[in-house]
Amino acid sequence: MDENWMEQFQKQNLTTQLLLTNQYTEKYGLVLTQEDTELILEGRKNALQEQRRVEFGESILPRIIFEFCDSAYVRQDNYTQTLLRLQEIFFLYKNEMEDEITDDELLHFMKEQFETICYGDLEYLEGTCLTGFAEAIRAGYRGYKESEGYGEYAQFDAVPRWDYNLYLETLKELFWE
Amino acid sequence: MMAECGYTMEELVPLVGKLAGRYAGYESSSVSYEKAQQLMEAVIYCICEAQKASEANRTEVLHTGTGAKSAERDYQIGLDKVKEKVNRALQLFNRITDNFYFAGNQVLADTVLKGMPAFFKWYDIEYAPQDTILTLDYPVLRDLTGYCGVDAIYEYLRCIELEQYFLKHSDSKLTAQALARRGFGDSEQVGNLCEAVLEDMIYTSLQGRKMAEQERNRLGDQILEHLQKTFAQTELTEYLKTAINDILHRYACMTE
Repeated sequence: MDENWMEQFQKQNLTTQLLLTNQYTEKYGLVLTQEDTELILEGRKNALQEQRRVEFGESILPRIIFEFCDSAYVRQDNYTQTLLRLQEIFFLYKNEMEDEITDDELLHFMKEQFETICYGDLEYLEGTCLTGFAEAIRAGYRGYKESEGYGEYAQFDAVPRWDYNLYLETLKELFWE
Repeated sequence: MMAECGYTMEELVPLVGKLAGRYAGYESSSVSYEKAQQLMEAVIYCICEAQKASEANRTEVLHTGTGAKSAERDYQIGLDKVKEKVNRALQLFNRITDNFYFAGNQVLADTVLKGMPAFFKWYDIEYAPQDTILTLDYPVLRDLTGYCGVDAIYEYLRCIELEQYFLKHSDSKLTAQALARRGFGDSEQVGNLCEAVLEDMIYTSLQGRKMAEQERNRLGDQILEHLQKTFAQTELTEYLKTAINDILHRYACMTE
């Protein structure tokens, strides 16, 4: 028997799981091909190795897909690449948050920021939104347990999202000047 | 380590996976390498415990089959054995600390009276049974380097129980003198109390009087040389057993 039969079995199992998500995601115009799944699983293997993590049973990938498939910023042309990056970011921040946060809490937080703060910018999600949140968690913040990861970012956001003076100035420029 | 418990990686990984799921409260699909390693060690520790118990009791037949089911059964038996051992260690600890004698030696007092309660408080039977937690600073006379987890603690406490028996049954005046001479009384000196007391008993028994350190060392060397010339290794062990028994009989209310 092949020495890596477990790995082979898991890969086959995951491929099936990923292809099955198409049944749900096609209503959002998102479909994975066999080649896409192979690419994503290769990325998964690398991301896990790089972050020194192990998945024993169920993979996080189908849950990432279900969480992000209705995003305004995920389209068929960037679907595979987005999934590849999202799983990298997910494993990175499981470590950065020292496993204090559950999968669901982290996915909820990521999705919410991806939609409302980052406007689909994965670099901003990784380098800004998650960094501040991870710092707070490492410092002992546990408020996300109650909120399940929703509505958390405002208290850690260093950027003023609403500038009253700027708004007035723009309004004047547009309508009165 | 895998060979140590007789199972292959393929048989152990599903068990580690289940344990990882329970550890993360089924809310995390992945764990770090370090955590996975710790859980693998936990599984192997329990399986080894089951196998040791089986060898000792010859009652439960273990590892008759192969595969994950057999490993899981052995793991469960081992986990129960670990729990039993923790209870036995706790009983032993309670017995020892009842009228605990430490002759003012802070290392012994800290290791047993402060360290052991911390061990029982923090010991994680399910996810880190292999973790000894304590450094066991007070040195007992038995080499326990091959032990870890509750095994190490249990064997250590057994040594301490024997030492307590010895110290409590020894001539209190001679014990106090011996410990004071070696600087053990009211101090943080690291060393075994019984060794100091027994050594003193031996020299006093040989000369019938107290001796200066230099004189004792000289005499010690002479005795060793004489014994090595006179006896073969096996005879020497028997001779020393008889001699120590004789000394204990004379200076402590003990027969063995």
